[in-house]
Amino acid sequence: MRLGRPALMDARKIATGVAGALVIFLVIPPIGVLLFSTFRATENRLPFEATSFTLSNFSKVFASRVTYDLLLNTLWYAVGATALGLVIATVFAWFLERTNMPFRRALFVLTLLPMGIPGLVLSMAWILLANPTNGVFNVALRGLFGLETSQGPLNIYSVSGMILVTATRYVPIMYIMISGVFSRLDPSFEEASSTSGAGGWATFRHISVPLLSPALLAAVIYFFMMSIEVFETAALLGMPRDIYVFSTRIYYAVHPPQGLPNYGLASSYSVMILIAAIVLIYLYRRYVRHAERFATVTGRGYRPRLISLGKWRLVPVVLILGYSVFAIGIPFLMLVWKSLTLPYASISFSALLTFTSNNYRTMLSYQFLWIAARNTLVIGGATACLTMLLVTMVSWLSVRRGGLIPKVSEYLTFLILGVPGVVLALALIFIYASFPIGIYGTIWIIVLGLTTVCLPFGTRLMSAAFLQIHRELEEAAATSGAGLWNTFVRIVIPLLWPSFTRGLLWVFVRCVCDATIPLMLYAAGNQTIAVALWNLWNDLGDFPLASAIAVPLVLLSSGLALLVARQTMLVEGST
Amino acid sequence: MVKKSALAICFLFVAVLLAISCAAPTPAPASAPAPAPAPTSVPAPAPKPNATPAPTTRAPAPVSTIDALYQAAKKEGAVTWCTQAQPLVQPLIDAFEKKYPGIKVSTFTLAFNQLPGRIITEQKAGSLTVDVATGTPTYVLPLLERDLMVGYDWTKISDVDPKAVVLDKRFVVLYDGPIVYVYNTNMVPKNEVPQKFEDLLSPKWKGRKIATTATGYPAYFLFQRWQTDPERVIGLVKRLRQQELLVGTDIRDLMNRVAAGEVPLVCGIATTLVEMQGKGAPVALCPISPTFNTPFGHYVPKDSPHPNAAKLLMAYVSSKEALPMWLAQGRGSATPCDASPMAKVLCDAGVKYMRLTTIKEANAINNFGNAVIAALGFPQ
Repeated sequence: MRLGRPALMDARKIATGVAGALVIFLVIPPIGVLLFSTFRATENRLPFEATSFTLSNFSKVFASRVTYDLLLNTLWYAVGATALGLVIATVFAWFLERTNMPFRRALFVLTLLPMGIPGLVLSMAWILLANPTNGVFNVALRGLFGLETSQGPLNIYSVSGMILVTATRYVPIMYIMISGVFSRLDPSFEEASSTSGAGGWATFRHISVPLLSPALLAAVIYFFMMSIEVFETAALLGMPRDIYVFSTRIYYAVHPPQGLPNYGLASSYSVMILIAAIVLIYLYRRYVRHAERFATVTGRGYRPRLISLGKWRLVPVVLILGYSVFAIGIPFLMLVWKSLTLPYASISFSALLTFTSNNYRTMLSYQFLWIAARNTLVIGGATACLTMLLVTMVSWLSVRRGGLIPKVSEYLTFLILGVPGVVLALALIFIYASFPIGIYGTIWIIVLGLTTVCLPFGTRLMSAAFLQIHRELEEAAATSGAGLWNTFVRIVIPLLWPSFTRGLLWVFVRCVCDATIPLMLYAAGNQTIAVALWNLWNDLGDFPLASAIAVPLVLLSSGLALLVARQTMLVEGST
Repeated sequence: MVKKSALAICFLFVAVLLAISCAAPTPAPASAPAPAPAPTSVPAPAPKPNATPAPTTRAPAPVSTIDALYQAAKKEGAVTWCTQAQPLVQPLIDAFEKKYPGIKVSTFTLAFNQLPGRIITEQKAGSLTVDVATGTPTYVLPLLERDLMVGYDWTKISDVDPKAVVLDKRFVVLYDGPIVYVYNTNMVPKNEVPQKFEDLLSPKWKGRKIATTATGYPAYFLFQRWQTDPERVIGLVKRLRQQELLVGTDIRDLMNRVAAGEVPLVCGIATTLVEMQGKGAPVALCPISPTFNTPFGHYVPKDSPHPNAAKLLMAYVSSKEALPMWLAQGRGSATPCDASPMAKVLCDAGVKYMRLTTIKEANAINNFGNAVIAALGFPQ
């Protein structure tokens, strides 16, 4: 019996309801707690304890001159990091996905390597390299040029340093968000442009960029919001020079030197970020409202091909290698060095003689680390699968079906970027401690928390990917009698496979490296590797041991990136 | 098709993960809490430098009391300890489980300033997961205000020094953490080491040469003077601000940076100093005095899921039997001079300190800390 149109519409309604319900379940409680806290008097009181509603949090934030200094610093930092990251990621995506440059898979892995290093560890590595007093680069430069100064010439404690480290750390995310659509771009558009006499740059500007604009725009707004939210880099590289941004200010509100966290104040700052998120997603949706303009994958069929670079084939190799060495190779080598040396050993040739594997043996001997590793794999896998399946469904329904529930779901998934991790965790703790359905204190509450924070990335990634695919392909499947599930599994997923698998990879690696949510929801038995690393660093101050843990994390994410590359990258001569 | 099978593998993976997670350790089930004894108030003495005399020798606690407690704790079967990183406390856990078989100790770590909020939230929701917690008196004030800590005569079940039982018997001090200034011995010649607080205001320490967290610690040395002349003290603190301090989020990270030669001076903790010296770090103590001692200890939240096991664990980790294990981790009392390696370092440098023992003192130091934070221009 063939599935007719009415049954397909019913299936879509059910899918819309389920996806919408899941998103609301995940997102509304933290946003609700944030808005509730904003209007509560929370100085030395938790939001549900405070006895009165008040506007004092708003007046403290909006009437304070400090807030506007914070706003300027934050904008400067976020715009700079976004612009730098976008340029690097776009150039790399074009070369790696569209050209016949050599060693594509290996360089794909190198580009994604920074994902696997926890932000705390990467920032510490950069401090060792470029702090103005005795950073490795500064000592070398002073010696090389005979500079008679005890400070500089480089200073990682600056907005420029923050921008550089943040951009290089998040290039992999931007790359993942845009590379999938690069690989699916129908070359006939560019061929038509070349045939009409347009040069390479003109074709790129007037043809490729507009077609890729949904993905580029999605990456820009996501990365901009991430830069506002990121903490470790802003704290470690900004605070030593009294450079405060929103994330560090929110940190101090919820990590006071004494007394209880002030959730009301933190939430009031976050409301500004929430407003920015609403404006950005609204502008994005207006821009992409005529989705068919951006469709490059149609029923007509095409043969993806790689653009030949001729004698310039090695130029992008040099570019990407140079970036990788600078942005990740040197910091990674610093981690390896530290993991093999004695505590407090200086960086010198003589330290080579004291290399020891003690830190790795210590790491392997800690039983709790093995338990943390198992927890991390479970959490990472479950979160990746749950997140990508949910965001694919939400994005599909939002782009294809429209309607109130899918659109609201898409908005909500992006708004969660405006909720600090600590507020999200408070909401989860209160709800699941109050309603004992057995997940409080287990790894599953961490899965819920991480799924929630990964939703914005997932929906930006998959929405942009869906815009690239013309609806006629799915309509053809429906006309042929395929039901919703068959269409989703046999048509939609294969077409989105590069974006889907890269999204899985990023979510998994994020779960491995993220400490914020797991730290807040930490209980006996649900420790993750990132939490173990954080606690070892905090309580033992053992950077060599922390480095010994970070090195395998980077190698793990490299292995996964290689797997994804093999699955999703075109090779020459293939279709 | 490869993509379809990969999707199927994805779903199968989720199913396998669910199955694996069912074998993952789960928190021990909660049991009905025992009623806590009513707290009694103790008049607060004025803080004096090095007020704590040598610990007295006590007779061991009556066997029948501990036995009864052990039997009750065994029925509970588990205890959850929110404490520092596991490698630090593993020897204590192993020794406790060996001495009291049948009681499994689980641990997790939460920052001292996050734990009270977590306890209050879980208490409100009726799902407290913590049996014994580590902290400092200044951080537990919110719990004291809400009467969420168990007050108990710990000397009945432990040979703990009675003077270590503070805050109306709700907190047992285990080791001290005096706030001290630390310098890098390769960067600062002996004759330039600051000897008193005012030396820090010298122009030679201007320009990111003094590292600190955004707390009141850098000026805790002025606490006594603040009680008699607050305006002058705040003036001194504002001059310290003009030195352009290097601010970080973590004391240990900053102390490591001093050891690495990035910054010459840091406001840190004496326990960490001694630990770093043990590992060969080129760091030493500035003899700035009097300083303030942040005592670290343990407490039992009210309505903990395993109240008897909690009391037994508290009794054990506070006992003389546990003391060598704490000392092996570099944790110990700051007095007398032979109590611990840290005490010797302080005595050799002639550093005196005040120790906090009452709620009134904890509130006083908190108020002072807030004033210092405001004067230093740190976020509030």
